Amino acid sequence: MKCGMVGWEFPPFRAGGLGVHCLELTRGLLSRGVTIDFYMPKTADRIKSPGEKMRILQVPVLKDVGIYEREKINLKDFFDAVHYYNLRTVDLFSEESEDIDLIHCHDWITVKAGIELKRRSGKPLIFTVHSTEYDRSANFFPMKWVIKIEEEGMENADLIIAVSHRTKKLIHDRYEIPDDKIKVVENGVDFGKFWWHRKRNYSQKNCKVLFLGRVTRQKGPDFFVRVAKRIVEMGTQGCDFLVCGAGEMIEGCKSLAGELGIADRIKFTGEVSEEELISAYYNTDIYLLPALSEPFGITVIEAMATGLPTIISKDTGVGESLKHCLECDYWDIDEMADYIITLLNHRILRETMGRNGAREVMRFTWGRTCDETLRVYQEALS
Amino acid sequence: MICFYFQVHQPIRLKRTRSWDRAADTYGHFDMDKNKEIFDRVSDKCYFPTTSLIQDLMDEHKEFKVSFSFSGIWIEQCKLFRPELLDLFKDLCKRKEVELLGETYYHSLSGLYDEQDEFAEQIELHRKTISEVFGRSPEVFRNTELIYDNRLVRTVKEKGFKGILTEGTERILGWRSPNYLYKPFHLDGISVLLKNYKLSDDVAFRFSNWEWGEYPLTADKYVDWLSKAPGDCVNLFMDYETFGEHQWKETGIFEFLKRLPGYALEKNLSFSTPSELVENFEPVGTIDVPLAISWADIERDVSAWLDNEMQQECFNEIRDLKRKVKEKGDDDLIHFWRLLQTSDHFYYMSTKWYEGDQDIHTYFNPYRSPYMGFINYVNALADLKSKLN
Repeated sequence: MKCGMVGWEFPPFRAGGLGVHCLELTRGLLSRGVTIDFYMPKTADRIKSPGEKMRILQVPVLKDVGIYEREKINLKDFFDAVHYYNLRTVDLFSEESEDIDLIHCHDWITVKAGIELKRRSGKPLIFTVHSTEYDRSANFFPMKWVIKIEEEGMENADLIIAVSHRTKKLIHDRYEIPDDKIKVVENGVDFGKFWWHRKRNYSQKNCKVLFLGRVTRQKGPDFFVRVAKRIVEMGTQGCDFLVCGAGEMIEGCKSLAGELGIADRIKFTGEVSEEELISAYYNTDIYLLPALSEPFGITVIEAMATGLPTIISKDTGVGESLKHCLECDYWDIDEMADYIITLLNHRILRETMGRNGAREVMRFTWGRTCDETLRVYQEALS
Repeated sequence: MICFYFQVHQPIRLKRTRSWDRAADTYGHFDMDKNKEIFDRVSDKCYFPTTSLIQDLMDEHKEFKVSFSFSGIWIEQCKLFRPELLDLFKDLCKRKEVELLGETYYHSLSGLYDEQDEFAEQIELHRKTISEVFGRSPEVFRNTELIYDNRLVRTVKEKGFKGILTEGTERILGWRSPNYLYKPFHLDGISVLLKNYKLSDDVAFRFSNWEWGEYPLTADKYVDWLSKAPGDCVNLFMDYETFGEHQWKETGIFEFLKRLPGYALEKNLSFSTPSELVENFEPVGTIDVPLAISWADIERDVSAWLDNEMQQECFNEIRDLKRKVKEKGDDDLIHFWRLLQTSDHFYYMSTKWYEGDQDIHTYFNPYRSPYMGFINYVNALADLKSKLN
């Protein structure tokens, strides 16, 4: 089987989880006997193709646009780059990948090319939805024209892969796509990157609460700050807060923390390296993700894998598959504050949740993701 | 001999309690709206129709007998929410064919405490309540969820009971049959009645299960099984809520119960209350139970309440507050402390249902997760502690 995959990010060139997903997915599919042509934007340093079975084809994007630096690039340039990339991918693909069996696209940024390639070749189109415009905007002025592209992609796709049942429901409800066309394939985590860390110590008195992820409206960092305020306000001692990650809301969150008078209790790291990210999990004691709209939430699995007791909003997709974490509404500041205070006061609760959670998430392997994706390919081809 | 025993109990459930919440009165931490709602629902579906039916059956068949055990906190809620139901029960319990059993007032795990004085006090409180409400004095004891071990049976004996009920599990019986009376290890003067869990659970759990080979279970078929059971007695112990609540009216459970006494008497089977069994039969052997057993889950031990560390920590903390609570001497606080000893709070913290036995644990659980059960409990406990200091 040969798959023509249109991607956007590929490590080390990435801004979010999509690149990791593509790397793990292509690696897994290769070992399962699938041959892949992987398309991605041209980068300053060329990425070498890993071998004969997988070719990485880099498509020129508009020059001087750093597409992976989301904070620096202006939106118009970004959208132009996406548009140009999709057009040029179609050209190159038609020359290079005539012999493919199916086309696989990821999110709206690549699906335009997929639609056109399907029209030209008649091959089945698989469309993975990692997040929708409704998620990214947290329902706060979603861009109509992006939704239109997503809609077009979903309608043209032979099968759609959703990263959670929550996303499947959203695709069904908001884009009116029939249920049987949408397959749920959950993301995985590379647990190998945690192997060298010591065992977690649950017995220390003081606790640090962690927010880890892009500091963007969708993930609810401002709610995190407000929860911190509530906890400080209750006179709770020995509880500090860490916001790990970069994003457009970081300055806003810093000044909010200042206004609320808790700047001394909450630390913002800004952009961090992969190693610092992993250390952040191990140097903190409670993980809180008050996301407004999170299609899956790989960081939740990572946090739990490191033994962190975890609190997530009901709008976090992966929550549907988890039992050993606490869930509440993202706006329910009192509820989240109480969970944290109770965790802080009870080592047993931290330890029971942490240990059970670490065991529970072990099933989220990329191997499973690849097996299930391959099953979707086979269904599309049959 | 057929011996029916029904457990009548509803816990007083906690309401969502945050770590900073402080209650103003005894029921401050308890969700009395929710408790009333559940009590009303079960009253309408089970308590009223089943009790009336048993009245009618006793009018029709003079030989029909049953026994009940009401937890003290069930009676407390009944007085609050449905006093007319208590009148119905009082009426029924005037008959000598109905026996009332003793237990702890709070349906607690106090029988498992090292120091048995709290257990004894809760038994005494229950005895007082039964005597006030029904004018009767229990002679046979059944502990919370049939929990039993070599130590607590001594306390029960000392409190003057001549019999005790527990689970007829193979763990204590080996090859022996539950259909006889036994005596406890190194203790005379009290008989042990064992639940025939196969025949009891056929009604309590399997009655409406269409995947069960014997479905549908009819009264004549069941009576046939009872008549073929060897031994002196068949002890059918179950939740009273089996009738109309666990097994809905639509499953035909009431028709089953209605026809059962008639068929049984036709087959020359007879009915007996627990104390009559103790009077009429001699123990045939000894049972030795160093580690506590119960009627819960497939393990039939106390792991439904004390399996994980969260449960164990709460169990130890509430038990160890005894001295402080007694020193304070405030009746409301003593009541609050004891309400927190109810076994159901610990059941809600069980993490066992992730592995198996899922249906039964989620069915009875007001919380989404065992962690919520723990959070709520320790927060209520924190308030109690702050009031004691």
